[in-house]
Amino acid sequence: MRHFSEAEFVDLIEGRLPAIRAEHADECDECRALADALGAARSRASADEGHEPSPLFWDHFAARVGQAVREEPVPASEPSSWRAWLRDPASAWAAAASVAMLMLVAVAWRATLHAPAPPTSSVSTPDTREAARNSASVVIDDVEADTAWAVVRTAVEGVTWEDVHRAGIAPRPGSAERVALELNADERAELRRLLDEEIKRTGA
Amino acid sequence: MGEGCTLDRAWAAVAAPGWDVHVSGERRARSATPAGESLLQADDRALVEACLAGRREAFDIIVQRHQRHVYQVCYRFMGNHEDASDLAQDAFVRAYRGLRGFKGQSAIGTWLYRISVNVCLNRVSVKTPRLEPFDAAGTVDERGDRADAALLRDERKAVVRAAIARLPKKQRATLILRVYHELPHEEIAAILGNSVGAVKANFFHALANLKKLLKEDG
Repeated sequence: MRHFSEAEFVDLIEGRLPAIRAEHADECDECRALADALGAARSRASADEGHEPSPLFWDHFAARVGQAVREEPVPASEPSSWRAWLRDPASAWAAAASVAMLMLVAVAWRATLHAPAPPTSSVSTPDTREAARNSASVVIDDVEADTAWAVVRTAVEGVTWEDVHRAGIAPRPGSAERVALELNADERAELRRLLDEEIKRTGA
Repeated sequence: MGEGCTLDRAWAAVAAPGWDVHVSGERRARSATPAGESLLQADDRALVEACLAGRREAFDIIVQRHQRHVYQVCYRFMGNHEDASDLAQDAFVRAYRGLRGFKGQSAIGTWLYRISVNVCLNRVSVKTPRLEPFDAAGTVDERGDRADAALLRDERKAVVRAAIARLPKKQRATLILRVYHELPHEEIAAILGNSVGAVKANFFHALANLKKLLKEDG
């Protein structure tokens, strides 16, 4: 004979204990007495229907809470998150710049991998720098055909910003500004061109 | 609104072709926020989103919907109207401050219960509640034998309230939520941050202690 557990006593007095298990109360005086006492205590507690304030109280209370809440700052959705941070147009531009920068860095890196080895020279002349820039621009034009880039794109196609946010990936505040400041004149011009193009395209 | 368009365009501009540019949850909420007149019909989740989009009036509706439950929890803990109304207000202000932390995994009612219980438990830790005498609680005036019966009933209620006030905090919270608010054990577990098994054990001990305390008080 196994006595009721605490949870089973609760289920018994609330009428939720399976009948086959509840039969134990018929056989065990000890459990039955305790269940009756618990049930009586519960009934006595529930006989107190509580306190109902005046009907006028509720309007007064709601007004009081409303007043108190209006003294509080409006709660931001996620003040520390990238979404709230991006609400500032300056931050949005900086973030856009950082994304563009990342793309340029990735493209330049790939250009370095695929480009023929430069002639051995320790001196960087304006000509060689121009050649390197031309080489990079060729790769930029070709990025859509790049299979490695296509793999990356396919992998992230189903990933939403919310997924990224939930995964805890967010730019560190200030990082986009730093990246934007590090863009050179050409990169800034390219970013501006991309943004202008998109604004014209959407007609906004 | 203009700033939002700029933001979307900026993202669209720098995203590689083939990427979906998703509008953030908050911007979606702002565009989906019900107009003023329809806030009353909005569900709690939409009201929370409207609050987060800067519409404080949406919180007024949340207060109107839940004030009775929040107040009643506070009254059961504190035993008097003044403390109950102060703590209920405190609970709502805390809820407002923490609105952005409401993730929607539970109903807002459950979340408000959790805040209210925490506010009350914190208060009873530093201040013993003053139980309200029953005549101040609005007992109806009755005459003759009925008056005697009403008086006896009120005395019995006062004894029960005093006994409940002496229960350990978790047991008291469990008993109040189960007996007076008739919440399922699962919801009480979510409110108190316990398992269902722990809630049932607390409820068992609350009733067993209540039985002893009532016996002591005759």
